[in-house]
Amino acid sequence: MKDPRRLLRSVHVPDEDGAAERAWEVVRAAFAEREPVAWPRRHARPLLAAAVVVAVVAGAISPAGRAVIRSLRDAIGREKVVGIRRAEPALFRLPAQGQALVASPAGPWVVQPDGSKRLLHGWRAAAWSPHALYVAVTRRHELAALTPRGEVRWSLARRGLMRGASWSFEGFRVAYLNGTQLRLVVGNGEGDHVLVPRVRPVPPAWRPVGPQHVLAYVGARGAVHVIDADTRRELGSFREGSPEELLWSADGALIAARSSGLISVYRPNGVRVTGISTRSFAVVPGSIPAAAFAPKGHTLAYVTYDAKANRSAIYVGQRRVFTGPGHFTRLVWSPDGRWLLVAWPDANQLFFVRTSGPHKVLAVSDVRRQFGGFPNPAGWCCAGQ
Amino acid sequence: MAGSSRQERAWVRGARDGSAADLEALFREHWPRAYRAAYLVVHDAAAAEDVAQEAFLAALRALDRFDRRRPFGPWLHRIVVNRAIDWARARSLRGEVFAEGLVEVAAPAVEAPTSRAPYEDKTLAALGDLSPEHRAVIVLRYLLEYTPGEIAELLELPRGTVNSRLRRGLDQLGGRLDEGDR
Repeated sequence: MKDPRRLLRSVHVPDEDGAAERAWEVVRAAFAEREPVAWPRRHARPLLAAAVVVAVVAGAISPAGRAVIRSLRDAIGREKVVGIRRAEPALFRLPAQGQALVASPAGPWVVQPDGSKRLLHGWRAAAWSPHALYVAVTRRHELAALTPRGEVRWSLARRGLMRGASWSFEGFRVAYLNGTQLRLVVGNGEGDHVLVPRVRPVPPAWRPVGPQHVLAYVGARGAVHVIDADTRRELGSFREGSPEELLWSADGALIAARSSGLISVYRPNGVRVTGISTRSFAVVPGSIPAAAFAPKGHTLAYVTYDAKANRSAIYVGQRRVFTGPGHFTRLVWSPDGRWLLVAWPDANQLFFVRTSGPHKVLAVSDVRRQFGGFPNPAGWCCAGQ
Repeated sequence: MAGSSRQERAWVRGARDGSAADLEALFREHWPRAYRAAYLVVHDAAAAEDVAQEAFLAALRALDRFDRRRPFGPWLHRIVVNRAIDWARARSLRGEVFAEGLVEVAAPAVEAPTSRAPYEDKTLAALGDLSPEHRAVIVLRYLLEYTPGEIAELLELPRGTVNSRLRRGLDQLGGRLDEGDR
């Protein structure tokens, strides 16, 4: 056999330079987030010991013990999430074309490419119509279609709680949840009717291409059903995990069900294609709190959360593009597929991470104050339309 | 062996004190071998990048606790190799989970260059026939150049186990490469 040293050194390692640059960006960002230890460890250690004693005693003698433990841990230097250091103080612009929709406790906001934004006051959850001509919004017992300027085009009221409104691919149907019912209304606000009487409280998802109006929803027993919403014919179904979100690939060839620790990917006819689980990433205990298919192709972006390390990571396909402490709660793709808009509540930041080409991250800080509470991205639509 | 110099201790000290330049020097010094070692154990470029990157992040998180009198390299390599072994062991699970689908769901892979020495693929294929544990000791011994005693310490294994893994690993590797040459 040849010299094993020479053999091992001669093996071609793919994209060595690119890997080094991507990894350095992540390490550098983590280093920038790192809080310097405020005082020498020799002081922290006895304080930690004292804190543990105090906390155990407090835990033993008072019901408020758990809070004491938490606050003392904070006081002795638990990792504090500071987010991306070179963040902009406000959202001055979007890095790609299209209008973003974010939902904060104050209501949904429509954000223009130049960063100007409009609050759809008084409404809660929101979803874009296919070409961003309208926004479907809900509040308690009401569903409405608004223009991005906030003008009401139509609205309807029903007895149950309204949520999860979703527009069909050409805007001719709106599916929504009302109490335990899945209902359907024509895109002009007429013809409202019950489609399925009992479903799980998971927003229904339209297949993004036609010609049929194909809708996926989670039935009362937890299975995902794919139906032709006009004929009610079932095209396929599957049951895996406990779905919290349904996602279609842009071409409608794949449907993914995101559960807490699993993304299951199926064909619309119910044939399993693949799955991504937290165990695959050795982040157990952990979760997959957010996912989204790219606007073109079958690339899936998703967030993993490692509870043990209290760290989140964003993956685009198999490639990790960003990691940080705490939770990332939502992500949406830019219409051109080059950026992800990500919510980072622990850092009070929204940030954009580039999904291809050189690594780049743009962040906006102090977003709670600017949006009347923390804004979670709900959509980003549509370039050139 | 990389990473035992006075210069390296200065970089570690600088990084602990908040110098990004010192951290970068440390990263540039150790990344190539950490990434190569991970790749030779896991045989998957994206996973190797993750493993090596995670190892640097883990080292970064523990930097304040790092004993500056010790060299940085073995500390990092221990993390890299152990994570790579874990990843490779979990591959069977991932194989079940990802199967063909990840090809479709994942981002497009970087195209492999075409100009390779003819024995590279054979080496990789022959290494791939070894268990992750055998690959790891071969990589630690012949790429990272640790002695069997140091490998035993890094992997927390009896020295005899390291020696037998090395012997068996080399025999298998040699056998496979000789087969390929015939």
